[in-house]
Amino acid sequence: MVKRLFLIMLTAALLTSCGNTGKKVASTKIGESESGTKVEFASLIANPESYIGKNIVVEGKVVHVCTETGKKLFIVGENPDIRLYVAAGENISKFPMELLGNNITVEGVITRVGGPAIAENSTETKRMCETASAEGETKKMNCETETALADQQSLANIIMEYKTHTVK
Amino acid sequence: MNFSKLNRVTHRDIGYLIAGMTIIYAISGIALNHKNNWNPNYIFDISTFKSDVKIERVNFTNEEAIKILKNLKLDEEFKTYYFPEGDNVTIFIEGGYVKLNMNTGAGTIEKITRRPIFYQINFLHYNPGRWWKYFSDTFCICLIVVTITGMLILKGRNGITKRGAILTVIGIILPLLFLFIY
Repeated sequence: MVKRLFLIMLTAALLTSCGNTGKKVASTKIGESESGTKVEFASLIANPESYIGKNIVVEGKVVHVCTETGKKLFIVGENPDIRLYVAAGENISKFPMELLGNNITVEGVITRVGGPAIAENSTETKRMCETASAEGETKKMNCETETALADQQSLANIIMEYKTHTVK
Repeated sequence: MNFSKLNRVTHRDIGYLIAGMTIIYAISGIALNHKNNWNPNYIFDISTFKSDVKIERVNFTNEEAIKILKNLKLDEEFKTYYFPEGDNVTIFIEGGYVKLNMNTGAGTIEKITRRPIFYQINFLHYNPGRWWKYFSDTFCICLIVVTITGMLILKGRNGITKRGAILTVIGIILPLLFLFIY
């Protein structure tokens, strides 16, 4: 009886850990949707103030997921130099790295912060980026997108508080 | 059933029930404690290369990106490319990305895979959803029950009134000491 139970548990553990290769799924919906308003990325860039506090759905290409915390995801639209910072929250604890390079639609509430979003929202990120060059080239490169956010012309002080996403 | 027996049975059965969860939380706790020294969720397989392909941002296309991947003999499916900052281009592939400095031709291939077992237990540790939150709240309450019932199991010189009291006080003082130190 005990041997059988352990065998079942071992098989379940192996299936869970090894069977999950993280391969792309054609269309995956994660999180809880409250059906936000569909907004074009260009429209968000042009007039971010009009979306503050609103629950919106926007489509973009995932260009960065924080390798350290997994709590930050950045998407771009037509203009690759303007990134939208999507912050994980109640509905997702961490963004999976497999999203990198995928087109997704993401739903969340747009929030304005006092200064550049990356510095305001996470002192940990700031610390990581500051120490990155000392710790190695990989971390330094990973922080490029995050630091570039502060210099962009639009959405620098805007965060989307994540609710749900769909992989295209 | 008297109190002593009820206490022992409660301690034993809840202890068995939460054994798996305690180990999951303990292992992922250690893994996450050291996240500054390693990535507990993903394995990054990084290799460097030097390319002599001339790249210009304005003329860069999907075809150019795929050509670079072919030169690097990468079979992974091409996803997209992106210019993060400065002279770098990132080419996303299935399970990773290639970063290339357009000026120097120096680049890295980074392949990302989930760290077996740790990814899954850390995922649970990070509170993946509402129902897990309630489940882990229940687990925490069970931990408190197991602790209190455990303290009351033995009587006499090894019980909570003598040896047990000394060890319990030490266990409370230790975290308080860290509070003072920090």
